[in-house]
Amino acid sequence: MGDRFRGKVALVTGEDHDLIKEISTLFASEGAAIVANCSHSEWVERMVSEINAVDGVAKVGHFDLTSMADAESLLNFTVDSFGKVDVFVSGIEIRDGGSVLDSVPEKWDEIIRPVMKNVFATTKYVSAHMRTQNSGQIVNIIRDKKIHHDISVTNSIITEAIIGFTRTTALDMEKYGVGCNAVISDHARNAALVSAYICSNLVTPGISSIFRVDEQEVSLYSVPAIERGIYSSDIFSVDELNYLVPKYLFDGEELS
Amino acid sequence: MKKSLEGRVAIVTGGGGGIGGEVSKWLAKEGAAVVVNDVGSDLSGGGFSSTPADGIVSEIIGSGGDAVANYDSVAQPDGAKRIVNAAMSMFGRLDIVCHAAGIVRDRMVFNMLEEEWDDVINVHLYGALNIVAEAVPIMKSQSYGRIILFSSVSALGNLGQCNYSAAKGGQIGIVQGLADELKVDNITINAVFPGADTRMTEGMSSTARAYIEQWGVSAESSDAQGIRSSVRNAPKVAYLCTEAAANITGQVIGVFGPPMTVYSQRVLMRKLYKSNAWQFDDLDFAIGSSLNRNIPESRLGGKYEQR
Ligand SMILES: NC(=O)c1ccc[n+]([C@@H]2O[C@H](COP(=O)([O-])OP(=O)(O)OC[C@H]3O[C@@H](n4cnc5c(N)ncnc54)[C@H](O)[C@@H]3O)[C@@H](O)[C@H]2O)c1
Repeated sequence: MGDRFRGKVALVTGEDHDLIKEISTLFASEGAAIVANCSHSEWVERMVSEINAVDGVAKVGHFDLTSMADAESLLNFTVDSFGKVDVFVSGIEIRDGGSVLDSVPEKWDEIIRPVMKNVFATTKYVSAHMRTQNSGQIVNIIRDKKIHHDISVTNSIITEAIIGFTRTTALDMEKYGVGCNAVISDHARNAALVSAYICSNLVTPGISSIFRVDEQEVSLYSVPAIERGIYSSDIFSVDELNYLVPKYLFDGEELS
Repeated sequence: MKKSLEGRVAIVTGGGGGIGGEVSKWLAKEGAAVVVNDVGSDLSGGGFSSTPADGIVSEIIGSGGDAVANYDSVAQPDGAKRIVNAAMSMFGRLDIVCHAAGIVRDRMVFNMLEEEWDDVINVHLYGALNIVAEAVPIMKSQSYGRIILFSSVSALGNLGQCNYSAAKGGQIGIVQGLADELKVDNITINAVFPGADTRMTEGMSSTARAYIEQWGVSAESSDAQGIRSSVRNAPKVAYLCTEAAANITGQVIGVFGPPMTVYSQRVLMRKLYKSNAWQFDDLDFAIGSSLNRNIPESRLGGKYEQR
């Protein structure tokens, strides 16, 4: 129990029960009023009444966030209930779609499109509101991508797409004092803890970091940056590249 | 001497555009037969015209190369199917796919419309999935393939482009997610960060000016145009499509301007470890004072403006 979020309002969305519960309980225990949105209504009702039973203030949202109109309604519901939104934590759960090559376009639509639409729709309305407040923190939690270890392609696509989205949202919201960061995690409690930390302390607006959080480790990912280059003031020819690329750009090594 | 792409068949989506056009011509110059695919839309994706694809095809044929035009939209699964069928029926095989089709619908995240989001995701991200899914079975049966997705440095974040950043980031996800699986069949897949003064880059921004001057050329001089020209991208892309580039896969390669560069993978820069449960106060200390100390801003997520 603490006071870190006394007087603040946190909106929490997602389909991952462990994660939503950890985030909602943590923010509530630090004094925040909570709106939790999850499509599993019985479950989320129960979770919210547990929070309210131990002296928290929480409400349930029942909106389909792949719909723009519903995402706007969730924002309005939150503001009508508690007057504002200071924190928005989006729990992004990625279903394993196997390899995109073995599946059909309808299957990608089922797995990729709703996740991306949900993140865009909710972020749009929340950031429009935070812009009028000139403050706020947005955290996108991506459940479980061990980058570069046996990940499914859908997982890889959504993760990189959400990271790109997170970084641009941070730039768009910079001058309104709103931060946007991402946490990639396979550990619900620690993901919640690091998100709460980000919302309570950090963050230089406009600079978004990508955290990796596991049971025992908290880490930062680098942003891809130019590692090596070859240069020519003239336009290269393919023959020149044939010689230069293996020798200098990739140091002659076999790449993995 | 045998040309580096002799006997190869290539598809270039957006092949009638600024960068795609130069890529189409360069692949043809190296000996590939090219399907120049382009819907000839305006910059935001509206409208249709056969002129851009036809223009590039006649330039290629005029200089002794082999090419056909195709006008289907790669954003539609059926469109992608027809583009691949065009290569198979005209040239009998498919070795190279360059996905350079693109549109922009820039707007700040809090004002962006649903259709602006959907349209950009559809062309860049779903377009990539559509064409890759159609091409890969053929490439597997040939045990050869080269796939290049035209991503963007905007994948790292760029003001007013949340749709485009998500789509271009997603393309990197496709490349990293598929590289291992395709390797066994001698198929490589890479993302490139291109760049040029095309209709997509509206005039000369201050970052473009700084970029040119970094190469010791005044932004006003006649050489300035050359530094940011579309053609600079083309031989680097063509090289990645050759047999010699067999070991380069799953990478992000910069093909913009005078250099050719390779980007680092996303790696963990610093780890903080605790054997028992983390608490808030640990984080105050750990994140607040040591997680990012002495790491340059550019590696942490400093600002990126060049696209
Ligand atoms: N110009 C730059 O500086 C820059 C920087 C980074 C990335 N890029 C990327 O490089 C690629 C080429 O960009 P460009 O500057 O040559 O743009 P461009 O507008 O000149 O060319 C894009 C072409 O794609 C075509 N197209 C659009 N939608 C299509 C669809 N559904 N199916 C088939 N064709 C379609 C258009 O008709 C156009 O001819 C794009 O993917 C772009 O996002 C460009």
